Amino acid sequence: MTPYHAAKCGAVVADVSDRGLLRMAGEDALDLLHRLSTQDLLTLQPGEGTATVLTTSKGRILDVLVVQRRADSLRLHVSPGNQPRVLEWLDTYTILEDSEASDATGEHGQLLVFGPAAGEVVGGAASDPALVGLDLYHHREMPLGGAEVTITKAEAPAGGGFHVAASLAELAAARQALIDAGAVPVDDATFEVLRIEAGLPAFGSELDERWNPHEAGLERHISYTKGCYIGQEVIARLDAYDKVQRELRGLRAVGGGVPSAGSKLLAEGKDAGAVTSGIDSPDFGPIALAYVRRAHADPGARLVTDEGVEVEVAALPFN
Amino acid sequence: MQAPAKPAPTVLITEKAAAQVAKLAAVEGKPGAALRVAVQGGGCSGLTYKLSYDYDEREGDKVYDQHGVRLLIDKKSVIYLIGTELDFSDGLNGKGFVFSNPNAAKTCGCGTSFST
Repeated sequence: MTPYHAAKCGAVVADVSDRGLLRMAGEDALDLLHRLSTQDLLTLQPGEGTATVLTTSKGRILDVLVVQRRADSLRLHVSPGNQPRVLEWLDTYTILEDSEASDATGEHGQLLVFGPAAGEVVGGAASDPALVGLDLYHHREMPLGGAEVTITKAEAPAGGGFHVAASLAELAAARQALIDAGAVPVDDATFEVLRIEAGLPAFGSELDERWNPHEAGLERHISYTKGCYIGQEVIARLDAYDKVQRELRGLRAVGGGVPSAGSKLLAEGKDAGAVTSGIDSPDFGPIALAYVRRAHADPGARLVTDEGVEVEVAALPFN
Repeated sequence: MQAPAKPAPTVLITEKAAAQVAKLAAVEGKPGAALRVAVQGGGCSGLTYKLSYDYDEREGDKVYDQHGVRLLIDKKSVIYLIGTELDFSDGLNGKGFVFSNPNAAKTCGCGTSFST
């Protein structure tokens, strides 16, 4: 079975060690992050986690973080390579707070197990069937294949996902245990196909300071009742007055050719959006992710890229 | 020879705001407490004001007595607050304590958050 098909009907394991891991320690760390990001974090208990968006005062996306509350600190999952920017941001707004953030990326290796059978695979490898029922972003610390790991229920390109963090020295043992339990190793190129099919936005393509959380489809990470945070006024206004200009959508190429990231979308010669990621999918053919102006964002709308690729707007995920 | 001019307070509190501070201190069971004015990260625009009662001065605090109220400002917050006026807006549509901060390049709609 190819990794691509294993992701759709079994389970795969990807190495995601390029993702950033930060540690925030101090009495005020949780409160500070609560004041700086979109999600309500104050109710998080040890072992629990959630996703939240760091936004600028203009309501633009700085990064999407997974925040885990551990016994003595917070662990933040940040996008690959974005650690310096996030650390600088946190430092800028740490004035009197007892809070210190540091980069712990190099201390860990990271795996992502996903696919419809991911829960059974991880539960089997860790000898804990209850892992299947772990809530999204919550985590457990436990042994797996002789390694001490943190297992977090995660968003993933296909089926349920489990993020596994281990020390660099123990990563190979954890990975092997997952493979022995039935996970098929998946390469970066296949991972990217699956990500685009699932419509998961990625940092640098769909997530950066050009876009706001509404456009990126991240409303589930926004609390509208928590009160102020940086960017809240703009984000609340966009919602209240229905002022969102673009939405993340899928595109299917109609006449062949893969829509390329960076190309513009046109409707009768006028700007209709921008392509952010494009790929040739085994199941769906040439597809792409794009921010599409609302007037043209209904599934079925026909557009053309400035490179001449004819596309049809599709709902996400592709199916 | 003239004595050197006394430096202007970092935060000026109006008589109306000072009266409200004293009144609330009594209501909250903290009569005679000083008003600590600080800045912290957060709010819509990045930085937000924090008011609290405090009986203890800390090392590096700027201390000012105005209209019967003692103001304490920690050394890290001073840079964001130099020249700020703290007033009180009462009435049915009043905003409560209102900051006028010349260091604020932008202020959010409700006025409690700013960026420099």
